[in-house]
Amino acid sequence: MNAKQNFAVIILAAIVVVMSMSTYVVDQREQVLVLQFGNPKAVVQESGLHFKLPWQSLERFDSRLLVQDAAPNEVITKDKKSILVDAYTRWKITDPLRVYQVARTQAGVASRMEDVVRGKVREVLGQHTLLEIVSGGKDATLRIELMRAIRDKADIGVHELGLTIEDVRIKRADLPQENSEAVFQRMKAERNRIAKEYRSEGEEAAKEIRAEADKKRKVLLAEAYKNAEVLRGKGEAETNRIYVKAHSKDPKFYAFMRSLEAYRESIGEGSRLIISPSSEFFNFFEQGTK
Amino acid sequence: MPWSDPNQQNPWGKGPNQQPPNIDEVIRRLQEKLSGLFGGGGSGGGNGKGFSGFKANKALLTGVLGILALLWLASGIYVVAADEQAVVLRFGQHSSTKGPGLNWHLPYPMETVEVLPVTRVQRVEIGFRGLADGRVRKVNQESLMLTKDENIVDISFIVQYKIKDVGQYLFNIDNGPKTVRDAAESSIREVIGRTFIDDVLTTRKAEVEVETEQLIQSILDGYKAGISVSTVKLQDVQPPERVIKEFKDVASAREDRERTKNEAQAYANDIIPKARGEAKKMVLDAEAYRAEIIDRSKGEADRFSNMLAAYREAPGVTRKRLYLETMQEVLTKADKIIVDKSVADRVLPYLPLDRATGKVEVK
Repeated sequence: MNAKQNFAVIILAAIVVVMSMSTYVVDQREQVLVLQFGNPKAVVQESGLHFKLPWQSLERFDSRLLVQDAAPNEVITKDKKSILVDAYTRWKITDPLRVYQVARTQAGVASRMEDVVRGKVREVLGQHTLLEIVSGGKDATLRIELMRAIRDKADIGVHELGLTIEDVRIKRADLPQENSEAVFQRMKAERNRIAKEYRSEGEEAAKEIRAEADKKRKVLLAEAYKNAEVLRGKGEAETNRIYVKAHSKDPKFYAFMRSLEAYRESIGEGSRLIISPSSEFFNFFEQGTK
Repeated sequence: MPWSDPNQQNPWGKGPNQQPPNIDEVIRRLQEKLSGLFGGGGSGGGNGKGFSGFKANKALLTGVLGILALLWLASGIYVVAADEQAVVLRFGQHSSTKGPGLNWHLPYPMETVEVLPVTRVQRVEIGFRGLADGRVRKVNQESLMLTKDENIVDISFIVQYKIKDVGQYLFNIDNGPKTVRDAAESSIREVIGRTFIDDVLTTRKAEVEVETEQLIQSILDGYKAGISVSTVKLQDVQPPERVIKEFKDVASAREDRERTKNEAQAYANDIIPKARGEAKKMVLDAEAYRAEIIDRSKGEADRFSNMLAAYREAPGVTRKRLYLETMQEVLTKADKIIVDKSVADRVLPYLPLDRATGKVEVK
């Protein structure tokens, strides 16, 4: 009884151990290479529960889209300028067997792939000028075409590594330090020019506005002066007509009246008159009552 | 009791990441314990005490196994928070997606669960990193970029995104935040590379945001990443530090231009209305003068006519009267020297006429 139970337990344990050694799970995010003493036996890309011989071992690879973000790469452009290109690669392991054969591990194959991409980046961008690469040419589509060309070439290049490249994308295409310095200097000069232009424009506009205002004032005043003189002249002419009309009824009487008025107005306090007593005023002064 | 040891309790319940070696170890430990129990019984021989000890051990064993089985089943219990979703993997294969709440999955190794923050808005910062104490650290190699006119501009921005499709997000890409960051960096450079610096700094910020967002989204869709970009928000757009002084000077020059113009305009606004007023005054004065002299002349003409009429009634007398009245008035006010005509011709040169202020009249 005792020994029998003991035996049963041992058998059970052995079954569990063997089972655990001959089954394995493939996650949907991975693919598995089954190795027998280091020899590839099968590639399993189907996720789920799988069986193997207990002595077979597994090498697991990612099946997702992977990112490789390499250090910036110095590229000489067609116009012999050097730029720093920072590109990243989205890639996938399509043939785990090939990967295992050429590089053993995922990290190993990634660095091989990076070399290929680096070369293609140099090759493709080297056929274009700095400006084309940076701003994407006239209609800004060149940049996209360049990335696509790099992708296609690199994809062919990594085929023998058991990979596909889904996307190569330029994150940065920057000028190296010394060129940046030149850009900064140019930016400064350009800004100074613009600032000067703005200030001169201000002066120009101000002068025009002032001159225009001065002109307007002069015109206004001159016109008013003209109108005023016309009015005065008309008034004086009218006045003259009125006087003439009245006075011409009896010019002699007018002369008499006007003379009297003139005497009254012109001879005032303090005027000194030397009068002859023979004047009409003194008619009776000397003559008396004779 | 060995199983009451807290370290041994529920060895299955550590979650889906448990690795097969642990099971092996537990089985090994179990075997050790069992052999210990049986070994104790064996050494006791056939006595009654030993037999009852074995019975007790058997009951204990059953109980322990039962508890273990329960704990194993309980290890499949998990909680999904309100903004999360759980992807259930049966033998590594996507079998179902569970929403928020208390859930149960078949215990390891049959099923495992990946819990993802699906409705939670996540963000990546580009060109800067917000530090824990609220300060911000600039990342120049991310934020400095070339514009279409080959100027350098300094841009930091954030991208907010959500997981749109858990299946795609989990199974198609290997690093969500990094994927978004890479796509964003590439996109902003593409958009800025076809925009002029003055537009970036002033009027086209909103367009840059929209275009970048669309570009990031199309890249991510190309990867079937299962990510939806909700916002691209430019945080800080400015010229690089090296040339910021010159850019500020341009801004102040633009203000100077406006100020100079405004000053001139103020001058114009000052003098023109004044001139207009002056002009009106000149015309009105002239009108007043005209009206005045006309009225005066009319009055005077009228007076003359009346006088004339009266005069004609008795010319001689009137004439005389008018003459005498006037002379009286004149001579009353004036200093008078009455000199006979015959004397006058001889005396006149010697009179102190220099004291005279008024008119000298000789009749």
